Amino acid sequence: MTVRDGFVQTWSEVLGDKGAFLLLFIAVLLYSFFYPLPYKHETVEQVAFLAVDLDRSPASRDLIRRVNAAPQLELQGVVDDIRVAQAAIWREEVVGVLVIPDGFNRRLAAGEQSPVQVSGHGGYLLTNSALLTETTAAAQAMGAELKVFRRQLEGLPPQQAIASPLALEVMPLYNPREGYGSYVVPAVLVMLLQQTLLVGMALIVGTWREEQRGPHGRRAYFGVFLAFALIAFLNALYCFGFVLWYQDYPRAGGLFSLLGFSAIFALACAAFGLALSLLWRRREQGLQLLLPTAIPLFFLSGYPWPAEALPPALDVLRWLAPSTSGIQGFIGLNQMGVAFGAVIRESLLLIGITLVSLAIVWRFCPRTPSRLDLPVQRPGQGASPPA
Amino acid sequence: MQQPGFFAVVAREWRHLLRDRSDAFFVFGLPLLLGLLLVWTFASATPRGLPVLVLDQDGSHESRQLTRLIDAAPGVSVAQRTPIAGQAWEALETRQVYGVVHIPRGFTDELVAGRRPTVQFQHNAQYATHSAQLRRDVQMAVATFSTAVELTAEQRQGRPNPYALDAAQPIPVASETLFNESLDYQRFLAAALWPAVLQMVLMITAVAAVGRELRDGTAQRWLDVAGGGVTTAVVAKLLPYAVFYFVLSVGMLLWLSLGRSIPVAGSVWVLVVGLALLVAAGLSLGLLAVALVRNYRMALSVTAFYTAPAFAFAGHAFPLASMPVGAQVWAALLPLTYWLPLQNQQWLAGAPASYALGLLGALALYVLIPLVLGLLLLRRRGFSPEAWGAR
Repeated sequence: MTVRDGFVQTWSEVLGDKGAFLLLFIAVLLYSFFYPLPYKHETVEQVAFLAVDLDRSPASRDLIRRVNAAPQLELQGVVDDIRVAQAAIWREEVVGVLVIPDGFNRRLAAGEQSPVQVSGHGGYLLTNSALLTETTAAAQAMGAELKVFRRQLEGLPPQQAIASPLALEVMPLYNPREGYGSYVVPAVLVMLLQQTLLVGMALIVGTWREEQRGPHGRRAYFGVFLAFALIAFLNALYCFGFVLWYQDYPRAGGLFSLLGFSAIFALACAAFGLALSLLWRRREQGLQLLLPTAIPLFFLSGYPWPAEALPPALDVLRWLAPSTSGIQGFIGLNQMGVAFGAVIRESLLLIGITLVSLAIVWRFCPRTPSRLDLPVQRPGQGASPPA
Repeated sequence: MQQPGFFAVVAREWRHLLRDRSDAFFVFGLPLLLGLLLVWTFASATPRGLPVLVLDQDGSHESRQLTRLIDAAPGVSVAQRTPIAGQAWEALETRQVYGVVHIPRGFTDELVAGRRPTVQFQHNAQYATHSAQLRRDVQMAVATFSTAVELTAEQRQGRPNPYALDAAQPIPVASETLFNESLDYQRFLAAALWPAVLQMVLMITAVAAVGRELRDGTAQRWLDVAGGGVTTAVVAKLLPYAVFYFVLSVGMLLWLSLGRSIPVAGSVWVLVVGLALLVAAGLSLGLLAVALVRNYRMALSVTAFYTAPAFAFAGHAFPLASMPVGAQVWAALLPLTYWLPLQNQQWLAGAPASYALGLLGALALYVLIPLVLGLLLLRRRGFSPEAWGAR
């Protein structure tokens, strides 16, 4: 069989198999609208919190007012019993509490340090940090005003009565709105591309195995590889051409870098999937393996969870999956707008995955439709006891 | 041959798994491996600091001091210090560093003159997790530096200043949980992700166990072995799996709470009951999926669509209250949405057991409703031969 035979047979199989078509084309389409849905508003809004005011002073009221002025936060009430606040957190009516201790005003007036406390529901990182950030900002602003006021009282000229000797300006780059969807969805899309392709390939190749037919021989398998790579490439263009634009996520990539990296990624996924497919004996096995592995793989990519926090061995092993380089590279090109030169490392790793996978396929791919290099199990074989 | 009934079905399923190594792997080996992988992923006792670059265009004693303070912060490590802006950009773009601290030329002069110089911190906000940690630590380091400068300035002016340190930060904000623990909640991710992965494994297992019989046309034999009752046939098939996944999940709970010291602040028993319901709910939903479409492959696709984005919708990473209504409705249809608050409330927050009743009730509904619907559908249409063999 020729390369062309393998290519054509793969495409006609994909288009004729409802299950494969669903996975390889419809799933990407469906998920691309479904996945961004929770993050439509991009930022955490209406973080409900309670103030526990044990001081009941003008200063404590001033601080509560300042914290509540933050657009992200929503004050649910002011109480003077910490147990009320605790119960509210247990019922998840609020996600955090601002506690102003007794003597807050007195300590401030005496020029002492007068700490307050923010307690969040430990389980929710985003809302916790929103409450903490806004409270810190309000407390700092109030403290700064207080210091300037005091220094003026001490007789310092106004230009020297500054709150702190230096200022820190924090500038978010690449995702200036710091949107959550903008952060997570572009990476999930890469994961989606890889997993749907691998599962779709498993479905097709598994069916060939079951029915002892399909392309055979090295040339034909190269055609199969190219056919699946083309499918992955088309899906990548849809994701990074249409979805990012439609969802209005940051996108700054140059067209040619994007096309080039998409091709490299598609080839790597197809080769990796073909090598993996040598394991498949049945049509359904791909989904069984690949669906539950997606979440661990995503957290190993070094993106939602810093690679610096991974155990050293995993920090190396994670590069074996195309998704790791893919996520890093596509985020660089699309969201950060870097030149192709900045994703050379990822590109080389993907090419390495492609070559090694193809070598495995070259060695083990079936040479004839009936005699395979690996034992084949028919569907239903062994599924039922001899009645 | 064995008497038809419950144990005959159990024995039949067991014989299948002994014969079919790949099915046995997907059912027993894979979840075990994934559980271990998750624990390993979040196991690092001392995460290395995230790399930043200091663009030091001042090159003074003070700028070096600030650099040292930043490097000393627990979550940050200064990977590079350079006066050349081009190098800073290159390191950012190749993602060797996630942020650049820019100390401008003339920084020390302005500091000494009291002209309040500005230090810029540019961080890669696309890497949100990294950014949050960096911003916190860099802010802290700069504040420490600022306090030190103030102290020396005030002491130089000869003021008797017992409150110098206090005066530098009039209102410090302490961040604590109400529940008197001080653990790193990010580690808790392993505990939050495991149920999401488990849900997929559970549904797949139920779909595979029932779907296999439909695909291979052995459904009638399965029913015969059970003695003719659909309920017996289904329960006997799924119960051993339920026991295995329950034991596995309790093992995970014990390992994370005792082994990795995330102590259970609330009721262990509520968590154990909740886990039993969560496991049963996953299997019930798998049964419903396969009874609904009566096609092994399609039921797996349905499972994928339902479970793959579940973690995103369940409100743990991104709060439910900030989602659009459509997403909230979908979230309400996922057992995970009830399990994760239960886990937070009982494991971390130490709530009294009574607070968990509503959530346990919701989980119980996700066991009962899909189970009853699935059994009804299966009885009605599952055993008609025209439903078999669809791929």
